[in-house]
Amino acid sequence: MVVVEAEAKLEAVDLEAFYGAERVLKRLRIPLVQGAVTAVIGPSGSGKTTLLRCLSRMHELTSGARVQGAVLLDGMNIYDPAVDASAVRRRVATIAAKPNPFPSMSVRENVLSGLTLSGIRAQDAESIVESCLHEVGLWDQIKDRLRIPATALSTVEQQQLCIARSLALRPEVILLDEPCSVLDPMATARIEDLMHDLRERYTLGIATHSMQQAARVSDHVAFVLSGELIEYSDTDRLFTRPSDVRTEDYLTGRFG
Amino acid sequence: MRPSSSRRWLDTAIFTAVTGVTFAVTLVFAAFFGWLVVHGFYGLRTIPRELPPESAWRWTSMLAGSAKNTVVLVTVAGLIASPFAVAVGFLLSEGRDDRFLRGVRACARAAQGVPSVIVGVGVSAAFVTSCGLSPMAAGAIALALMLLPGMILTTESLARAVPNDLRSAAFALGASRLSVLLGVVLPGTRTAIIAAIVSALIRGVGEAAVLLVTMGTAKEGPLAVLVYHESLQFDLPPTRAHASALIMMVFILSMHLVVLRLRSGVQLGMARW
Repeated sequence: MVVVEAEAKLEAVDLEAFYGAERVLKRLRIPLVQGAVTAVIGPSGSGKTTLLRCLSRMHELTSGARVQGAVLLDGMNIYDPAVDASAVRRRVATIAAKPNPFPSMSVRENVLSGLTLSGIRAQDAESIVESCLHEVGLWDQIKDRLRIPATALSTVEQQQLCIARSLALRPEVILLDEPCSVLDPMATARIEDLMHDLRERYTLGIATHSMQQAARVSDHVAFVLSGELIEYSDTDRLFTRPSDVRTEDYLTGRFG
Repeated sequence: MRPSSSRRWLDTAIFTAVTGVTFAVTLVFAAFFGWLVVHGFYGLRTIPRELPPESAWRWTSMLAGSAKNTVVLVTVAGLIASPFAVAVGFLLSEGRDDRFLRGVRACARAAQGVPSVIVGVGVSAAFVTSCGLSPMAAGAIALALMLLPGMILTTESLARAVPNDLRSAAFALGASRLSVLLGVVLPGTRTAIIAAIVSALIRGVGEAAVLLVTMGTAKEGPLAVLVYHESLQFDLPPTRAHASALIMMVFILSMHLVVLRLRSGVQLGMARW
């Protein structure tokens, strides 16, 4: 296994995740490097989504789910009992595979929902809405439709809106769980372009089963198989010279 | 591959039979409502001629009093039951599914099956006999207790219908459990819950047994009790029973219209999920 020497913004250290008695992640050690995109690849059921949920303390919301080990955010263990899980989730944003804007809210309310749900009073709500929608490249398209229900937007616009909604909380890390799985190739390209823009200001993590997407968008790749980290490397090296035969087998389509 | 002709014939026959049965049942209900409307209006028209003016006036004021009592009873019962129902229903939906909540759910399901007359006996013993509560207040409490389990379980199922994706999205934004409930689950279910509460209250309008036990001694009961008393006047023509039944049906149908209006909004909202 090749480990990239770089400054980790968020790092899983000997991370293990359980659903009841079943261990689904096995002593993972994966850094998410500051200002870069780290892709987690692997076949379905390998633990990619669980890993992302553990990195943002979402895993514990599932009944019977628990975590062992540590996840360090700027060196602070987010699983320390003194750490507030809600505060962690505001710093480490999670974007789901399927766009999930709040149907009872307008576009504008959705952008501000993170603030309102957290009880944060936004002094300059209008500028927050504008800047967040600008950041995801939606402002020009929907600036005249801010009061319509968010569900009236197209699927890709809804996914962009969900990203904008997270940005309103000024997170430091954004985790995207197969963000293009329900999008067509054109829409996928839009989200990938957006990730390219966002990497300059945020640390990004993406779970994907598309190796082409991982190759296009990421700087580092972690290959996970049956909850085990098989290989972590920079993207070029992993796709051209994998060090583990299982990685090579997966990349060449022998399984998965 | 095309299905065989006998299979197609069987499909057509079953579909025709089901349509016929549906039509027949609809016809029976329509005939019943038609009969009630005709006889009810006839009763309302003939009572002033059938009775001496003083008795007709007394009966009309009794009918108006019963209608007013129905409104008061159902409103008070709704005001008592709905906050508890909404709170417990949301707790069942959003709380961790532990032994306590499973017990509460089992109790609510069991309580739904308790005959209304039993609820009446309990409330009468606890509030009228022991505490000397007025029949009207006791009737409202009994009605609230009777409707509460159904309201709780309906609220729970409506809250559970909110997709978990939305809850996850709210938690991912750093929302607390209470914020998720108030900011995501409640706005998504509010109209549906109001419709469910009104539907439950419609059942309350037609409830007679529980009110006969708790309010039997009251001078003026609600419409359901009036209809019951009038229908037992075997020595008199049934015009008064029909007239009061018609007024009660108008009440119930008006409330149904409210529910239909609310439900159309709910369906629009759910289409967005």
